[in-house]
Amino acid sequence: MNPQHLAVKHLLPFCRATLLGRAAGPSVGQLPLREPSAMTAEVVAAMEDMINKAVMGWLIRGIGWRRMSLPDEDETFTARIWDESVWGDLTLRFTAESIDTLLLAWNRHADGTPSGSPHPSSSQWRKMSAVERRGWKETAQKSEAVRRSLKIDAQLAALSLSAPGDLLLHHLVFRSLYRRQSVKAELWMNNPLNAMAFYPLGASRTPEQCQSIAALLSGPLAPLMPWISAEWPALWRALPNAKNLDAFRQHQVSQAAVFTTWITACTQQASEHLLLPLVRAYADQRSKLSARRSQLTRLTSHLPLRRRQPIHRQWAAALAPIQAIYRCHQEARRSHPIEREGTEQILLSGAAPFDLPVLHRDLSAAVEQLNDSIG
Amino acid sequence: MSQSYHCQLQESVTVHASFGDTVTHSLNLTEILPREEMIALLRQQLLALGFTEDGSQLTLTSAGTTTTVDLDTLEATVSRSSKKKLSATATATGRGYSHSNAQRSAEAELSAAVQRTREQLSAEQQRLQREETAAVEHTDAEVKEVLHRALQQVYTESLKRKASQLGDVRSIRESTSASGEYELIIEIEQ
Repeated sequence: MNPQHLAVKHLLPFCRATLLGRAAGPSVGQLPLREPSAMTAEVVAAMEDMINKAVMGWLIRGIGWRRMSLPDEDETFTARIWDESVWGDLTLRFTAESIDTLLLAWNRHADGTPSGSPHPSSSQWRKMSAVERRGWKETAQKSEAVRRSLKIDAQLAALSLSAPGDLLLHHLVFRSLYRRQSVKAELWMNNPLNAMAFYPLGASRTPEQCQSIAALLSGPLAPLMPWISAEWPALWRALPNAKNLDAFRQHQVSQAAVFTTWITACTQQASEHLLLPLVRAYADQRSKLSARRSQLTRLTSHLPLRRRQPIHRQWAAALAPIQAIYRCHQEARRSHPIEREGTEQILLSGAAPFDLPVLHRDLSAAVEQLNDSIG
Repeated sequence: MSQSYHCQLQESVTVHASFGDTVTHSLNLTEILPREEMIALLRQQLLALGFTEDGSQLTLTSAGTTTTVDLDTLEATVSRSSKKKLSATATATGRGYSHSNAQRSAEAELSAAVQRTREQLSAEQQRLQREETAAVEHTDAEVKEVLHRALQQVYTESLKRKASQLGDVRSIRESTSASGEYELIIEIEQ
């Protein structure tokens, strides 16, 4: 098929469906990266428009429409988080890597079932001798379809995603594909947003990933933390499968790691971009507790007590980092208003709409129950 | 006229199973008095409740459940364990026009029957384990209550001793509200 025809008739509808979180239709071909013969100026312009609208739409649908109380120097005022006066310049920059991301997702989608050498059925596989199996594997590895597929994988994993817009677009595409079809998650973990949000996939994060998450939180995406933190509660529900005990444990450990990173980033810079969403995330914990508790009961009720207890204690340990918020709040309250630092002022103003002592009491009671201590 | 052969085989399946469960609690002992003194008070309370001492561990066994309090680590463990021999017999019958055919058919049938019997025994094992867990859970609630009361007595005694160290004790009033909240008021004169 003519590459230009392919781009207009098939690639663009695929991109639109993916960015809207809908199922994409069957794919009919592949397109090379950054080749003018395939990507005409019209196609690129259409993709740019789609990328802008999709990312901005996602941010606005998240919490961009909410009016919330925000601290000013001496008083609080109500505004939409989107207002320029709140966060300053929110211009998102995209590079050609955003288009590459969509193109690679399309090529990977098209390459989902290599037609060259179909895998034998399980009954055929069982009947094959070891020599036949080895032979099949060697042929499959040499086949053009597999080589093409490996090349796409390498290109996906090599995306550098330098601009904040690229990171958001990459995250958006991965969310959509992950919910709709099976994707090789490890190829998408070069984006710290994915590694941070999709905890069951990034089960054991590498130190490099932790560092890049910290850099992301305190760096270019700091103004967008309200959106990112608002997305977290929905992630557990959105998981298509794997709602098992391991996923639950990984989720808790992962959240604790993110909170620790977040708090560390907060202490390093007095920024309301980081602190306010963190206070809200703390406040959200109470509403989630009882739901999580019943989930955990459902997941562990069949286990003997000696196996249930460590899981409960692990959860209690995972809740510990977020409790530091309350201790910081209490310390800030104890200091004289004139002596308060910028971070303390932001923390106190941000916490004003919430009854932090009640939240802390409930959270502590839950932790005590989970630890099952006496006295 | 051909003759039909019947062959009946039996195999007994036996499983030696161990059941049991354990739950551990840490005892939070606020140090009103020096730690050694607090632990001595706790030992006294537990011995009064019927625990027997073995080194740093105090043990109480009741209705198959053992409660152990380790005074070094301040950990209380409630455990229960038992062993049981579970056995069942798998039977299979084979038919054929020769003895060897009937035998082969019975053997094939028997291996399936043994598998089914093993699954039944495994289900029975799980049921018995769940019963043990439920028993530990039930006893654990009672043990926690007993240990709470023991710790309350330790705190009461510690506060009385601490008060007497601070000055002359003029009066001591103890009361328990309708909601079960314990109150201790000690008046001292310095």
